[in-house]
Amino acid sequence: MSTIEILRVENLSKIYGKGETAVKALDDVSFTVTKGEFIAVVGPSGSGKSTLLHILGGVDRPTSGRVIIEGTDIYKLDETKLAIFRRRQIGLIYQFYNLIPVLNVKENMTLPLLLDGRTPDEAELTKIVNTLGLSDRLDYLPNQLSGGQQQRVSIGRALISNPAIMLADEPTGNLDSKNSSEIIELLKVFNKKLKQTLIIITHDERIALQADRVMTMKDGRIITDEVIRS
Amino acid sequence: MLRNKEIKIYIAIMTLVLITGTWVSYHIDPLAGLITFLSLLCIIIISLIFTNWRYKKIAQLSQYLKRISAGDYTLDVRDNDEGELSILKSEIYKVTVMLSEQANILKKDKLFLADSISDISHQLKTPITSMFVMNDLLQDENLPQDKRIEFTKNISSQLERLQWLVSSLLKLSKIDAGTIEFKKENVNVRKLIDRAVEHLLIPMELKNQTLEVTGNENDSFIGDMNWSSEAITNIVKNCIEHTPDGGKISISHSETSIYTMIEIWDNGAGIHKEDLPYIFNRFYKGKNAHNDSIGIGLAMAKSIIEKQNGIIEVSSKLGQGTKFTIKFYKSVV
Amino acid sequence: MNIVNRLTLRQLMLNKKRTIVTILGSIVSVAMITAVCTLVTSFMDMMQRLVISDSGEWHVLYKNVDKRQLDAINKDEESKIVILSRDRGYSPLEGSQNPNKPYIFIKEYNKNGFAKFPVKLVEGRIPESPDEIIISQSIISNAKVDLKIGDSITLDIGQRYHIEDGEKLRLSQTDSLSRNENGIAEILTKEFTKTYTIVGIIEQPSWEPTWSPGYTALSYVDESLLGEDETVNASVIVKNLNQKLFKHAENLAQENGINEVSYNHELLRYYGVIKDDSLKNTLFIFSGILMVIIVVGSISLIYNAFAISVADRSRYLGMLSSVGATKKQKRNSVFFEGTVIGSVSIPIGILAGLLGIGVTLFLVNPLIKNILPVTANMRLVVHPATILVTVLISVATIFISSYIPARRASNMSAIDAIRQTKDVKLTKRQVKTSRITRFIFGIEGDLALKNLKRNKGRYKATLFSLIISIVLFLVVSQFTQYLKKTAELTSDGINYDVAIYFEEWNKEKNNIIIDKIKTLDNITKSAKIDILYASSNIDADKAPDFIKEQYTDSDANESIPYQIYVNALDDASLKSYANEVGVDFEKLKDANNPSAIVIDTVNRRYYTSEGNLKYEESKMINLDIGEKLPLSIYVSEEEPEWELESLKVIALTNKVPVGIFTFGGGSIINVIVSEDVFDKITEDIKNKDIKNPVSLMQSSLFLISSNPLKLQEDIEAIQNESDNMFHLYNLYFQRQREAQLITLISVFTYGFIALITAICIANIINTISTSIALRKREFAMLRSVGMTPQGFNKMINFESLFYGIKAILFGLPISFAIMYLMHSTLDVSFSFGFALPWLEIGIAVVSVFVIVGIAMLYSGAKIKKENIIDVLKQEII
Repeated sequence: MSTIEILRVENLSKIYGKGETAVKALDDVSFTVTKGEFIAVVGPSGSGKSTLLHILGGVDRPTSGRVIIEGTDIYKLDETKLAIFRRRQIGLIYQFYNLIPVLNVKENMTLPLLLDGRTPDEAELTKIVNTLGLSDRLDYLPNQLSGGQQQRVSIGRALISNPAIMLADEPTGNLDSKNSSEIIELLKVFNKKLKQTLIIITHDERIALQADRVMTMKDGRIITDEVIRS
Repeated sequence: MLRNKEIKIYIAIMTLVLITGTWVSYHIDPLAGLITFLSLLCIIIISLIFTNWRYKKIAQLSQYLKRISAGDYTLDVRDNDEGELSILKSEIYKVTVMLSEQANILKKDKLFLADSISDISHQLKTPITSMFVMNDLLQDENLPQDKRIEFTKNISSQLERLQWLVSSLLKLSKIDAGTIEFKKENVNVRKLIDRAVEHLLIPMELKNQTLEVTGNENDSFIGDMNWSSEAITNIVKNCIEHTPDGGKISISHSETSIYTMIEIWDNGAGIHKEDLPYIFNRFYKGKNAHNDSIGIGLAMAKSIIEKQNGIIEVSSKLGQGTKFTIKFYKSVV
Repeated sequence: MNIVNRLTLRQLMLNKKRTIVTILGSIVSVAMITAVCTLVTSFMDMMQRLVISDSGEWHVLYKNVDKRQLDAINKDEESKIVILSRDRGYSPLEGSQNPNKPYIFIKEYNKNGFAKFPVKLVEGRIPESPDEIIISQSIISNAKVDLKIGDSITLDIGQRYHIEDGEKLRLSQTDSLSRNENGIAEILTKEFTKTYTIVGIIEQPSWEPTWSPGYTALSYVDESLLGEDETVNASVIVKNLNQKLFKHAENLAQENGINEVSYNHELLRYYGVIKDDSLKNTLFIFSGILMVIIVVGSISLIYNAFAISVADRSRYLGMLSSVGATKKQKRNSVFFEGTVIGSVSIPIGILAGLLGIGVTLFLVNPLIKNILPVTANMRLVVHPATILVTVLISVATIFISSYIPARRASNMSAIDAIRQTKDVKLTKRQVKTSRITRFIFGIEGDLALKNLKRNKGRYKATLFSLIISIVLFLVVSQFTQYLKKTAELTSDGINYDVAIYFEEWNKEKNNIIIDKIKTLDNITKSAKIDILYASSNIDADKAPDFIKEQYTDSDANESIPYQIYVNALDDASLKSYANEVGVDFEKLKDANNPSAIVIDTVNRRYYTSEGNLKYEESKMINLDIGEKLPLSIYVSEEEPEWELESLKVIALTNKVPVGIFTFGGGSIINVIVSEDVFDKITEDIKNKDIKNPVSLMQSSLFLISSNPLKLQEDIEAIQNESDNMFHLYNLYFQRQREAQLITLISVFTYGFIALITAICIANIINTISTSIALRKREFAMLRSVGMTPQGFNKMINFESLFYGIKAILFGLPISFAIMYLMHSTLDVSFSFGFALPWLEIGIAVVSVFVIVGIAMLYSGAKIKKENIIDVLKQEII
């Protein structure tokens, strides 16, 4: 296991609302992640898991604190630079896939590259597509795919730009158990084989136990953080 | 900038256009000639300024690469802008991170190697010491015959162990060095298991343990039969060792679109939680390790499996048993 | 093509229906802009040709220039074509059978003149030397003088003078043959004699007034033929038609000592070159308002389409954002959508607009021809500049329409898309409705109001579009009314083709002629009017300010002398007029109780203190119905004025019967009475021997004809046979041009109203149905918890009601404000009372409820058909 620090979170807080109705979704959260780690974040709903993930992914803004990904304090970037940073350094996977219905599988997968005006490297794309088992589905539209397949496309999309960190928000929350384990397997493959840093939010104990490190959140705080394998 | 060949050509062509354009429009109207000359000149100067700027950026990048090659990985060139230069910077940075990581791994490997050598020395030293002692004893002519036979037996067993150790280390080093060609053939999982447990049936019988194999007989993966069987043998051996008499060892296998999985579990003593992350480390000895265990079988199994695009994982509960999960992935990422 | 654009394009393709609606909307807007631009140019073109065919093509006229000055004009860089013309004068036409036209009027043109002035050869050729002449056809047909091509005539040429009290007054072609009781009251001098050869015969020129005493004959003049002291008129066609030409011409005249410069304002006006600044400003502001109305209407229509499209795409814009699309990329996706829609709809829209106007003109042309058989028809004129302006305006319209949605798109953040909770961020207070609502409207009404309050953004968008529709409709109706009114104000108020004024006050003799004329063909309407020129002293406080001002210096501050023209209409005319005004005809007939209709409101035209020409609809006198209007007459200087029987006012009106001409100058009022009443009040006068009865009373006959020229000839025949003197005026051309203008304006303004109404309706339906479609899930949910179809309808109805009320609450005041603004803009040149168009307001209010209701019920019904669970399951993508 390497020792390169990919992510550093410092005193992260997020408060929704104002005054009496204010809700602390994140309360002074700090931790670091090294390259290649596979972290599962568990906790009851409303514990701040999703908020944390969104803030790590640069799609929501913290009330205070810093998120440093590969040395870049991402909330010091302006909105445009942050968007470009997201497209190159962060891969996000959502529970509801969030694919674009009018784009086919290949376009959806290569979207971050296309947004950058780049042409995807066919060889690399083929590798990823084969691993995801989507090689015969490249021209399909999302609504022609099963949920598991759609989620695989979104994994491909998160991976295509070779990001510094991959974040998954309940990636199996909408899938049956067979598809769930498939998705987790795939995430693990990329984590192990490509040393892709991965943070995943889940309710599922079995999925959490497959991670290298499990963080438990409650009321916006990390209450346990243990390495279960290295 | 000017030493670049394409810039010389570029300037030459621009000048030619400038002269021609000016000449032609001068003949239409002298004033038009002047205007053409000035505007073309402006365009040339502006484009040269921009080209210069671009070359400067490229020069900066090559400066940066030079520092990386000197081993300085801390510099971040990314600027998160649109455009080719920014993408290039971003990609260079990604390569930098990779290189720095590899450098780290290399450093760790060195440390690991030193540890390993000390481990190996230690492993070798113990039998050799005991053999020295026994050899000294054997030299005593008054030694009774039965003791002599016992010592000789002991020595040969130690030698056997040494041989196994050495050959294992040799294999391991070969695997690590990548000098072994793993075959890429279709391996039927059932056949693989049969072959792997072939030599273990006797020790199992001795310990009165049962073996159960389940799974689709057609399951297969792409890999090397001989090496894979060695890996599985090592794992099953480990199970047999840690399972009491009358225990049960189960193997099941399955195949999905992503991987082919072999699960091996026992109902033995289980592994301590603290040991669990390290049991695949070479020469690691857990709390309930056997005395004569040298902690190399599982390490070798891991190496073999990983070399064949697979992973191995372990989970265990103390007192209830241990489960090894092997997955051979279908495609190479 | 980059990925975001490709994505946008696919989205457009996928939502075919909405894309088509958007494109159609844009096409309509572009077509409308094209139509207005083309209509303006076509109309200008028609009027240009009309004016050219009437009075010739020229822009600036330098009068009486000598050779040296002419040289300067010729050399001037702004002169494109220089036309020389010279009025040589009159010569007796020997053998003329028409006593009103005893002369030949000789005019000379150079070659350009024959080309640029409306000279229509019937046979022969154009004169090429000063010895040659072409003569008006009417010399042969009307004067019955037997002249033909090849004949040579010798003419004694001189000028006409009117002699009165020893003063000589030179007369021109616009003065009819001057007569008094002793017969002809003018003389013709003889300046020189010249012999001409007739080389051609032309149609009677349109510039020759029908009452002018000389038949037109045209000869040739040339620069080279001019003597040193001879002068000609030089009409110039300038190179660049713009505002500068006035200044330029004046400078040129000044530099070269040319005394008189005049402009063909009538023609220049239709090139948009107008000297009268206030009128020009009004025109500019008017066309500006028109364009703004169209653009605002278009924007509200297209904007909606973009806004809805962005709302639809909000989720995937968020997704794009989460995978790293920048604000700019998201914003550009909307602009790209605009570009796509524009590039499809602008060319089609321009073609459609041209086609539409083409068809309209094709349909309207016969109408114009019916009104006026001789006039040129309106043809489709397309300038590249028109197209350019249209494209620019359309591009601007689409850009503006997409700007706010684009900004919204650029702000669409990933987190909003992921959460999709933006709509649900509510506080209790936001959706709080009063208990009374619940009590009056029930749970459905309460829910309806909550629905509206909950989704502020969408609610506002719908409301905005409703308000825009109301404002557009009302403002445009008001605008077209103003347009018609201004057209009426600027017209001269002539409502007859042929007028006959009798010289003598002899009812019996006159009636014989009148009866004879009435039997002639081609008369569609006739009105015989006897006028008594009476006067009356009216209390000063009954006079409007502008009349009072005229009498401030007089000591008679308490009363102001008004001239009262008492017009007696023949019974038939009176009956229809009484109907029009809404007065009982029998009451007017009652001679024992003489009553009159007073025309108290007239179109006044005057110069303001700033020197601007201003048109105003004014009340000339403030009378009450039932009031007695005393009358008196001055018979002679020696005698005091005679009191006549006073008239009872039974109606006040601004409607003018055929034959009566209202003026805004001075304190003159027309009142209308029946012949019986007229006879009664003039009984005394008849019995007296009055020196000059015509100055007191006059008979006249006004005719509207289907063929005024023929009618004129016929009347002239009667005139020649009779010894009763009367004047004949044919105002046909003048009248027709005005009538045509007003008809055209009506046709196009009503067309415009129809178009705007259509757009408004389309807009409302579009907005409502999409807003309902977007709430599918919510409705399904309501139904799933047991809302009955009746309840659902009730809720929808209440929503429509709330929408309508809000829209009207905002729409009406805004409309009024804009109307008032428009009114005050016009006030610079035109004054008339500010009045709200109540009928249109009524229509707008009713239509809003009806259209909103229908749109909502229709879209609601569509939703009801869908399966609840299917809808609930649907993911909003």
